[in-house]
Formats: sequence, C-alpha cells, structure tokens
Amino acid sequence: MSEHNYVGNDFEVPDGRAKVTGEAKYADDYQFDNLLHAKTVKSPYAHARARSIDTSAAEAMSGVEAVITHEDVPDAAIGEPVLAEEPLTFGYPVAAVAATDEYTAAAAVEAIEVDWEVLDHVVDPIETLKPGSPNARPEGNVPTGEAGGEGAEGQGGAEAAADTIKWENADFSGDFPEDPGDFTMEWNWGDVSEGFENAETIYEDTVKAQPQPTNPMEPRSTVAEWGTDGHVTIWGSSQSISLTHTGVAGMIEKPPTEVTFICNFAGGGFGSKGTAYPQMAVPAFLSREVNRPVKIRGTRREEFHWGNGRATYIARTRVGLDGDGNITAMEIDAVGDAGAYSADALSTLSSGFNSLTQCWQPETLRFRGIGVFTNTPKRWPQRGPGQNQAALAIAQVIDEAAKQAGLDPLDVCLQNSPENRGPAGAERLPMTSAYLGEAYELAAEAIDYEEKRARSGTREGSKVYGVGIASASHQSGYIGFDGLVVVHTDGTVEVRQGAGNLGTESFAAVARMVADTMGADWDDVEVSWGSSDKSSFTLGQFSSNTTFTEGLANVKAAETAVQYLKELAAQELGGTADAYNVENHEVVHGQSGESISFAEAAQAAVDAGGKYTAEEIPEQYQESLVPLTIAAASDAVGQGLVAFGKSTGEDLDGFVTSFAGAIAEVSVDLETGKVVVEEMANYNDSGTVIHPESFKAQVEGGAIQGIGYTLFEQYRHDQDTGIPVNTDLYKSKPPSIHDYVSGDLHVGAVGEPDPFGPFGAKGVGEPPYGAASGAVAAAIKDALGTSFSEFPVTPDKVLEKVRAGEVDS
Amino acid sequence: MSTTDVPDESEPGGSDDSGGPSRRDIIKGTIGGTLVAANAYLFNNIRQTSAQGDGTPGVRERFSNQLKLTVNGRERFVRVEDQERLAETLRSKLGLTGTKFGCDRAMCGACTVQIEGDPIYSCTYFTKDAVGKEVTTVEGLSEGGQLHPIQESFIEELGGQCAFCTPGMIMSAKSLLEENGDPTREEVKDALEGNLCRCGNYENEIESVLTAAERM
Ligand code: FES
Ligand code: FES
Repeated sequence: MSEHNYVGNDFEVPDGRAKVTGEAKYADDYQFDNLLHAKTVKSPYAHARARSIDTSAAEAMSGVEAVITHEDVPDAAIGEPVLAEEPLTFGYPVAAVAATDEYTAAAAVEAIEVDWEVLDHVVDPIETLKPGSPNARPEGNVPTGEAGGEGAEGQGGAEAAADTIKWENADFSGDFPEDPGDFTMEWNWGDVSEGFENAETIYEDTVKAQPQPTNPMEPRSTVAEWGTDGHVTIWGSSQSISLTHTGVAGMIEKPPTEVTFICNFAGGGFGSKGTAYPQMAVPAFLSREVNRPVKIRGTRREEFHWGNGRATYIARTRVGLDGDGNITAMEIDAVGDAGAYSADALSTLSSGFNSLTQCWQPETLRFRGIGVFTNTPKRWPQRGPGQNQAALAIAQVIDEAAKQAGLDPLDVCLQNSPENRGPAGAERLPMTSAYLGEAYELAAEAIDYEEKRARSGTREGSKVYGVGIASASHQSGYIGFDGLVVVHTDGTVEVRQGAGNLGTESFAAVARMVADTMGADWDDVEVSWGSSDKSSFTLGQFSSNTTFTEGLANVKAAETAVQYLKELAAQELGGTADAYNVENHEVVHGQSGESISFAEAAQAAVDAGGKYTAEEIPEQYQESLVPLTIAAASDAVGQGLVAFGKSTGEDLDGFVTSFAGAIAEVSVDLETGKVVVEEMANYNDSGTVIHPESFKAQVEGGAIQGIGYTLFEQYRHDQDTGIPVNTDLYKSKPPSIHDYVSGDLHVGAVGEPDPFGPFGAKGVGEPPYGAASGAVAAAIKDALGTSFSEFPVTPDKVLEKVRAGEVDS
Repeated sequence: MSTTDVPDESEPGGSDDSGGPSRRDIIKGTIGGTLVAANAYLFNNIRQTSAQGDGTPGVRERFSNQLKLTVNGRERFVRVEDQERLAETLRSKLGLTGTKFGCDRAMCGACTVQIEGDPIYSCTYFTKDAVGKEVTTVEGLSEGGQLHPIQESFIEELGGQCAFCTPGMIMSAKSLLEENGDPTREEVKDALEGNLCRCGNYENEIESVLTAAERM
C-alpha cells in the first residue's frame, strides 16, 4: 500500500464508463443538424505539381456546397501544407470539397480535373545522397536547421531550412556508404580514437531501423464550424489540448481566443496526434466558405498518406569494450529520414543520440548524423521517435561485442548503465535520476535469466532458442507550464488541466496528485478535460511527460490552493495560517481541531475576493502565466477559490529521464522462419508510480508495439513509382492478440522516486517500446548467431539467412 | 455514385436506445430527426404494416423506401442507400456512434456488432441484409442504467486505453461468453483475434473477459 491516500493506488478512472458504453465521443461521433462532409483530391504521384485545377464540374453538382484548392489556404514552410500545389508525396491533397453527404463529396472529388506535371521523386534515404539523384523538395535534399528538442515532439520542432548535400566520393555498395561526405550534426565526448585505443574488443555493424506508419485505431477525423462571428470551433482527435488549440489556431491564421478546441477522447495517437495537423484545417477552411459545420472523416488509407509515423534511422555503430566490459568508445554515423514534409529527421537523430548517451554512458563518443528528405509521408514523431530506433539498432551490436569480449551481455548492460545523476546529451548535463541498472536486474530476476541463458542456442525440433537484452530511455519532464485548481463553493475541487485524453489516464493521475496535496476527498475532485476553454496551458501529451510536467504545475497550483485555504481558515477561525492543515476535505487547526470545510473556505474566498478568486492575479503570475491559463479561469473568477501554479527553472536541475530494461526469450523456427517471443520481462524506471494499473497498461502496450516493430511493421514504397505498397493494416502490420508474447509478459517498476518529480514521478510511455524492440532483435541474433541489418525480421528474412548458410546449426 | 438531395433521416429517439424518445433525445436530435420525432405517432399505424420477419417489404418500405431494422430490441425505420453499410446506418442515421470505423474494410474489428448473436464487421455488412435480423450494438448492453458484466469488468481491469477498439472488443467478448461461459485464456484470445488493439492493451482485454466470465 502506498503512503498516500491516492498516489500509488488504483482507482476507477473518470472516463471508464463512457468508454465501455459507447457514450465516449470521438471526433467523428459528434453529429450536427446541417453538417457537410469533406473529402480531398489527392496526388496520384510521388512528386508532382498541379498546373491547373478545374473545379467547375464539381461546383455545379447538386449537394456540393464548397470547393477549395491550395490557393485558398496559407503556404507552409517545410511543414505540411493544408493543401499543396506541389504535393511531395503520393496521396497528399491539393483540393477539398464539402457536400451534403459523403457519397456526393466522393463524386465531386472524382469530377475535379487536375492537370499534373509529374516531377522526379526519390523514396530511398541513401539514394538521395548519391550524386545526380533527385531532391525530394525544391529547396534541397537535406534539412539543415536545428533539431527540435524532445519536448518539441508534438510540434515537429526542427527549424525549417534546407540545402543540397550529395556524397560525391562515397562508395555506396555496402549497407552504409564508405567515405561518406558531410554530415549536418556531430556530437563528441572526449576523444573517440583514444577510446578505441583503450578497447580490447571492437565491433561494428549497420542496422536500418525501418519506417513505420503510426496507425492509431481512430483515423484522424475533424469537425470544424466557422461561425458568422468569426469564432471557430473545432472537434478534433488529439493527444493534447493546449498545444493543439494554439497550433490549429495558427494554421487557420486566427488568434487562439477566437478558436475553441474540443477533444474529449482520442482513439490513440502515439505521437502522431501530438498537436495540430493539417487535416484539422481542411474542414475549417471549407467551413469558412459556408459557415456550416464541416466534417472530414479520416479513413485508414489516409492514415498512411498523411497520418505520420516513425522515421527511418540507418546507423553504422562501432563500439569498443575494455576487458571489464566498459564501453570505452562509441562511434555512430547515421542517416535519418522523416519524409518530405518534416525537418525532423534531425530531431530523430538527436533524440536517438541523446538516448544512447543516457543508456550506455560511453567513455568517449563521436556521433555524426545527416537528415534527408524523401518523397514519403512525414514521419515524426512516433512513440520514442529516434530513441526507439536507436534502441533497436544498437541491441545486436552490444550483444555481439559482449560475446566477442567473452562477456555475458547482461553484465555489459549492467556495467555501462548510468550513475544516478549521470551525464546525458551533447552537453553532458546531469540526469535527475537514473535506475536503469536496477531495471535490468529486476527483469533478469522476473524472467529467470540464468535459465534462459542456459537454453540459448538449444534446439527443439526445428526451433532454436535465444535470449536478448536491451534498454531505452526518454526525456520525460519539463518545466515552465501552468496549473489551475478551482475550489467551488459546493466544496468540489476542480483540476483544469490542459493535457489531452489519449488513453493513458495521466490526466487523471494529475488530479490524484492534486487530491493528495490538498487533503481532498477523491469523490469531490473533478477533472475537467477536453476543452480549450477550461485548460491551463501545458505542454502537449507526448514525450512521456504529462505525469511529470503537468503533475508538477498542478501540484504547485494545489499548494497555492492549500496556502489560500489556510489563510482563509485563519481569517474565519482565528490564529495563524501556519497553524492549519488540510485533511479530509477540511481545513483543520492543528491544536484546537476546529475546522472549516472546503465549501465554507471557498465561500470565504468569494467573500474576500482579490487573489483568492483571481479577481486580482498575484504579481508572481502576472508575467509568468500564459494568458490562456488566466482565460481558462474566467468563468470561475469571483465564483470560487482560484489557484494558479507555475513550474519554473528552480524546480528542476537536470534531464528528467525515464528508462526501461527488457529481456526477451524468442524461438525461431528454421523451417518456417517464424519468430515467436516466448517470454519477456520489461522493467521501468519511471520514478514513483502514481497509478499502478495504467502504468502496467503503458508498459505492456509499449512492449507489444515494440515487438510489432521488430517483427512485423513497416512502411514500404515502390522505388520506381514512389507509391506506397502496403497501405492496409494486414500488410503493415500491427500485432494482433496472437502476435506478441506466447508465454508471460512480466512488467514492473523500479519505483525509486525522482528528486524533482511531483511525488517523485517521472514518465513511462515510450521506453518500454524501444527496450522490447531491442531485446527481441538481440534475442533473434542470439538464437541464430547472425545479425539482421534490415527490419522487421519477417519469416522470409530468416529463411534467406538459413539458405545462405549464415545461421549457426 | 448516386445520391439524393434528401438529408439523412433518423428515427425518433436520437441516440438513446432504452425506450421511447425522451425530451432530452428530442432536444439532442441533431440528425434532422426533430420533426419526425415530434410527429412519431403518425407513423404508428404504418409500423404495423411494415416488413415481416422474412424481409418481405411492407407498405412503409414500398412507399417511403424505408427499411425496418431491429436494433437493440427496438424497431427502427430508416432510409438507406443500396450500397450503405450497417456501420454507416448505425452511426449516422440511428445515432449509435459506439460502433466505430477503424478501417472501413474488414481489417480491424472496431465496427463489430452482433447479428443474431454472432459477431460481424458492420463496416462490410450491407444494411439491407440486416432486415429481419436482431442487431445488437454496444449501446444495447446495459439495462436500465445497469452495466453488463463485461462492461463492468472492462472498467475495472482498464480494458480500454484509448478505448477506440473497446466497443468492438466487448461485442466479440459477448458473443464468446454467450456460447462458452467458461473460456480458457486461449479461447478468449481466439475470440478476440479479429479485433485489433493498437494500444496493445491485450493483456487487460483478456483479463476483462475472464473476469466477466467468472461473474456471469
Ligand atoms: S471498421 Fe470494420 S473491420 Fe475495421
Ligand atoms: S485501447 Fe486503443 S486501440 Fe485498443
């Protein structure tokens, strides 16, 4: 049992009932009287320009109410335009229609004539570096701005700038080009050549971590209503509220105060719905024409075409180990590809590099990277964007280096796991806490590592067993955001948080922390979520950060509320504020036991006014709070106790980093090529666990997706035409209920509190994915005695190795 | 593709399936159904002359191009296109949006409903084929506000993360438990294999079904 009333204990989640009755409203579930249905005209080429678009036949059709083209929407820099004159990918839209029903809209799309000028395309990231190869974008083939930080995941943080770089003198015959030309990013810790001199074992390998479509279960649908008064209301599917609200406002060129964003439920996002996306603006611009609500119902195909995904990460990794298994040197040359519409190939690389420093702490390193553009859909960000590709790409390398050094891979993992405040990133700044070693040990115990190691390489009929270990990490907490707590005169405590509701229940976990901080009764705590009108401004719900970031800001708001409650009690009952405590939804005098209820205190706040009800905004918040947070309190001003919170630089010293360590046992059938994950342990350093059930769900879900990445999922484009060839779920392909672990999936937490986290919490969502991917890759390699450079490891790839005689027998 | 200028028409009652239209439903009746709802009594006599269980069209079908469906135990009249799929009808004409479109083409199971007790993908099932058959959706599970044991266990075991797959999962689970009240873990997996959960929440979904089985 937890030492707290709520933190650390399970509870019935506030949105549970709606989820099982069908009452939960996702974007496509909202219905309207005079609704129009939108569909888009898409490019049938990987790269082409619309010379002209004839919409006259469509406009003449009965039931067609609005038609717009790229000329009716703002230009976008390197990000995705709402509609494109020169679509850089197959399936990207150039025009859109709104009609009284979907059938008419579809017919109108067919009636629009586009005169296409077909342009050269390139879909392979290495190809685009070859001399003479086409550039995917008119501005060049490589992004050259700054990478976005991990906190910018939802926004697509990289700065938009492009250049042309070809590797003129490289030899392109191998897995990774020899004698590459310029890179656009380079990190160094110490002198890597010295590091290799100190190594006894040096091993090098190239791995291509493949692209993958995100495929959340709910395709992205949006309804937009542009009122005659100019106010726009958008019902969308997003992981976040605050950042999506401001993001979509920017996209449609409106101040956020003239836009309301509503999303009570999102059917998954995994990064791809971190903030606003162009599909949200299509119905908005159509609605501007007619001032009627317009819905675009996303389809599964469209998820492939403009639903984001995981960027390609191709890395040649070289590690040096000394006799004790210390990594004395790590050298990586990498190419990242986030498609045509994102400069975040660079963010993919920097996030991957960052995670490698966190997990492996090499004594010296040189990481070089170059991002490229290809005529493939934007792929950034998806659950552990960069970190999880890096985790997959390094797992086999560590396994093999350990074996060549005569060491057990688990010992090498333990040997190199970070010190608690160990350094991370290009700048070698300290982490706030790190317990990866403990996570590995717990995983080893749960899966009985010794027994699995003993079975490694043994045969059972046509099956051979292997065991693998891997880790992943994610920066998972940020400061500088707002919290807002209201105590109503009926005593209800309301947490007005600005994250979204994407299914992780972290919005509820934030409220649990507030309840404990305030000594409130959970039954009288309300979480408001889903509408920008009542959202304190926070970072988006991505980067595994909500529990930390929003927890911290709202715990601070709760602390403000507690201070106000005590002051009000002192005014009502006498004595000093310090003499009072909050417990059981009351403010109680420590000595006399006299008390007032939260309801009475809220009434006292209303009577007192001023700072207590936000009629005056306390000075410390006047500058620091985002105006949208103050606006989110507006209906409560003067009506109840209103308390703000702001997390600042004083609250944090270091990178908040969450870790996962995973061990997997696999069997590989040498006759069928099928890989089965027999058992997995996935343990996480997430700080204090706030809600054990949802922690478990996050780790299991992450592990299952990670297994899917290594074994099944991919996004393939035909080289000649640039057209995607596997845009169906059964081809792409997310794991089904029969596809993940045949035996036990053990998950758990280290549980050591982070010194800066609210209640000691960090985050959880992303690392279990990368650790699972890497562990399965390492286990397959362990079973077969040979590495894979291409993923996923589908049966055909296994059989190819068997036929080529590469497999230990 | 053909189309008509006639807006979608809904039956009286909006999205509530628990009985006759309540005042709230009529106010909520945002699917062009308000007028119909207010005049519902006019159709009462026609209802009796409507389609028989064998699907033979009755007076109402022949004169108004409306089909009679039996959804969650209630008769619903609805005008449909020839090519219209059941999921479309349920969602946009009957207001039953618990049934989801995850893929539109029989690849995910988010649209699973029961027809005569069997789980089917309503995204690829013609509405016309449902005439004369009992259709059950997730909205039809609770009785008088009392949740079905499967719904209760899905809440307790956190059976839904994003929960977009959850209504379909629940319908597949219901079909299983109606046939086999005491399934093994493997049997639960087999029953849910046509329901994709992108959140990877399978362990909780299996647990939810096993817990419900114990209670039913
Ligand atoms: S929507 Fe019917 S199976 Fe996916
Ligand atoms: S809970 Fe999200 S798809 Fe199943």
